Amino acid sequence: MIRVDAIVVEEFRGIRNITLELGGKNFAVCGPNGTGKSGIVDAIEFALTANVSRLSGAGTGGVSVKDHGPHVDSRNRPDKARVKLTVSVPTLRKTVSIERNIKNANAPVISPNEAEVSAVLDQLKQHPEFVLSRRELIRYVLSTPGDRAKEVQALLRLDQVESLRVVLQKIANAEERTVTPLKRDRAQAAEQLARALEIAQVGKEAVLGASNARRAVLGLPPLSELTSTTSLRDGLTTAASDQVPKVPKTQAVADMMGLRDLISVISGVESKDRNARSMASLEALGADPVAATGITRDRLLKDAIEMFDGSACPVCGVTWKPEEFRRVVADKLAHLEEIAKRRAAVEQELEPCITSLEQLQESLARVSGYGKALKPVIDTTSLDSYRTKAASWRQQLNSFLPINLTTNALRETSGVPEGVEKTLAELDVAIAALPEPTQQDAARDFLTVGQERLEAYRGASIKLKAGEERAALARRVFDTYTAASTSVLEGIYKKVEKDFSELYRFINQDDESAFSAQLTPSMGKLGFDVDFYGRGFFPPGAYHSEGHQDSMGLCLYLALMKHLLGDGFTFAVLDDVLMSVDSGHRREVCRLLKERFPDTQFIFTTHDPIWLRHMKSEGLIGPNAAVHFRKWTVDQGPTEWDQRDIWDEIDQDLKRNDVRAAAALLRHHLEYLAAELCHHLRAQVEYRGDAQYELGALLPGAIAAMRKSLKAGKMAAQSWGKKELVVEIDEREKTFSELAAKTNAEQWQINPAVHYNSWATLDKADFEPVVSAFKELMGVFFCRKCGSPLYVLPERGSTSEALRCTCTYTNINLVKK
Amino acid sequence: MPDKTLFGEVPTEVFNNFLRQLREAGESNDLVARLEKTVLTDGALSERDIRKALFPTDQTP
Repeated sequence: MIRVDAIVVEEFRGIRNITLELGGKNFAVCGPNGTGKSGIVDAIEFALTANVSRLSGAGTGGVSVKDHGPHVDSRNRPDKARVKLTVSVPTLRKTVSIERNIKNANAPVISPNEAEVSAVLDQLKQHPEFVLSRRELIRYVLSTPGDRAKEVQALLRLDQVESLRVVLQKIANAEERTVTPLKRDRAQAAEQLARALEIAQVGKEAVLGASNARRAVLGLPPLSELTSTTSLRDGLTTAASDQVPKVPKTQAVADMMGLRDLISVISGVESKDRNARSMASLEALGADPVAATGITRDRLLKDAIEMFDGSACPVCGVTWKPEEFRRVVADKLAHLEEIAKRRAAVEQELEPCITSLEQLQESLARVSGYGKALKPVIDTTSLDSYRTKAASWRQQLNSFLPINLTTNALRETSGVPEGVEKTLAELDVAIAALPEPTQQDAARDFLTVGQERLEAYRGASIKLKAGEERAALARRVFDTYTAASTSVLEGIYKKVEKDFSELYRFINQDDESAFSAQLTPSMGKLGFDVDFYGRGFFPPGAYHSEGHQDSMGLCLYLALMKHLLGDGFTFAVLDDVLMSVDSGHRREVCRLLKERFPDTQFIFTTHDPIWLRHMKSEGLIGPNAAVHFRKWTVDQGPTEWDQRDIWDEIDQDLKRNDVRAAAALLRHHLEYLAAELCHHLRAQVEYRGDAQYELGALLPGAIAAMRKSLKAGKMAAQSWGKKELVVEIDEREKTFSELAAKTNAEQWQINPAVHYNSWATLDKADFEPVVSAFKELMGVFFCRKCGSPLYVLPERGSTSEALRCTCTYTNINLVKK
Repeated sequence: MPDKTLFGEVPTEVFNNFLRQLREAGESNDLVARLEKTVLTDGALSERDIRKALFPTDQTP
């Protein structure tokens, strides 16, 4: 993976032009809602994936990256909307730049454009989950087990695992289905053979016994073995065997009897009752509209998942987020799966009817053939018509859909078409009138017909064996796959469960040091229960507070990413994540990220400046590793709390003689700065329960704290005998006192005449010195070399040890000898 | 060596485990090799592709 060194964004979303230097380190973007924080997140995601999650997928109502990615004033110039990231790739030890504009979103300019660099960027594109928003975070925790499974599966790319499972299951089921008709074919061939050989059941002894009896009549030696190549007619002269009469009387009589038996079964009471039950099942199934079009939709949906290119529906072209598209299609498929189960049950009920129709077709064809061979010929049109109908019914029952046609076919099967009985009677008469064959002729006919049917039986057996072998192989492969994937996934879930629990305990060690969790995969769902103070395991939303749930979401995400990417987890964007974590646990969250993920670069967004301060004070981000937006305008985009910008802006206001605007900006800026300085210098400020601190409370506190630190520094230097330092601090102290006096800030409590509330009523000439005084005073709170604010160390505790800046150019010891 | 970027890390682990278990179960080397090529090398997971790997002598249109 990567680490981000710098981001340049131009004319993208709400941003006109901004450059952020991250240096591969953790970084924070802070600002009130609507100041452009998410624009930075969108820009990073766009640069790396060509997509912006918030602008794609379901529920975005016609909004798209292509049309709405550019700044509103550049919507007709998508080439101007561009993001450039400079990233380092630790595994390659290379610095890479990737630049992408909206117009050619899928053709980024990558430098160096090398295969190994592209491979890293491709991997990132496959892991858009490096961006985590609070909305996504909470889905891991508060979803239903089914939805959570989908979220986790999407993160772990388990859709690919599921895809192969579905295909293997489909093949296994389909192969098993082909065995059933093959079994029917063989059973039918066996029945025909048994009828021809006048035996009760096909078996080696019975076949040999019946055949040898006829062979003895013809003076042929008995067959001792029945192998796959044995011929019942072995030894019959060709000339004699060719003289088989067109209608062998004995077999014809048996076949007529067989046909009548079959017809009476199909039209009998038992069949009618069974068909009535099947029709009721069909009607119930047909009441679900999905069932009617099930097969077609099933294929369509599966094809849609297969053909989905990661951005747009292959059917209608609507843009989707990949995981949402797959989820929607998978939901539809799940319903179809339920329908498929009910359908399979009804198909099972139809099986006896299909078998009988198949036998009827075969039997009708044979008997019809006799009619055509007789002299004079018997008209068997009614039998042929019945056979056509039987074929059509069977085909419909096999097709199953449309359900109403299947119901109709089933209803019709029990009726015997008009004319059939009359034709059969004519055939009976004609066959009975055939001359009785001699014993030798009958034996020859017997062996000839028997051999024909034995060959048919052998063919059906070979096909059945092959079908059963295919079905067995497909089932074995599917079962092996299921076992293999289950063992891998259970291992993953166990590991993630353990890591998650450890991470959560780290944050909540003060009161949940014995916390544990259970991730339970089952039938496509993922149960998630957490311990609640030793009282048992419950869903996270049952008893834990919203703040705890937020931290659970973060911990689960981190545990999953750690498993998924291992050492490659070098980069993540946490977009307003943990907004509701209580202040008591924020430091622990900072420590967790810093200590447990030291090699991961986190980019945070937050609207809460106190959160930002926690991150800085805990060392999660460096003193300058943040950008603090103060406002946003459509013309300018986000504006930072940047000293130079603010003083320039105040000067501009004054040039326009707009004292009111200049006064307001000065006051807001000083409020922001004074709060920061009070924090850095450990100032004492009158506590307010509503946390609404005004400038009048903050700035005098910051001035007093600086004065106290300088005084302590001077005394410490004296105690250590550092005369030069004493002089230097003394100078600093004097300058500071003079500048503080100029501002009158310390007089605010006692002299309302100089209070900041009256600034807006001053004229330009009176207000300019005020601005100048505060600008100079503020400068003393910052390092002259690195520009970072001075701060007291340690951050808390009963003693103050040093006054420092980030670069340590300023480093004043506060502890006396 | 199969291209790992064809699939996510977890699916790749599952597929490899699947092929290993097939070998251990005594399935033919030909079958395992065909599945390995189809799934891991070609990244082909369609029913048609998997069928071809399972039943190579099928006459498919």
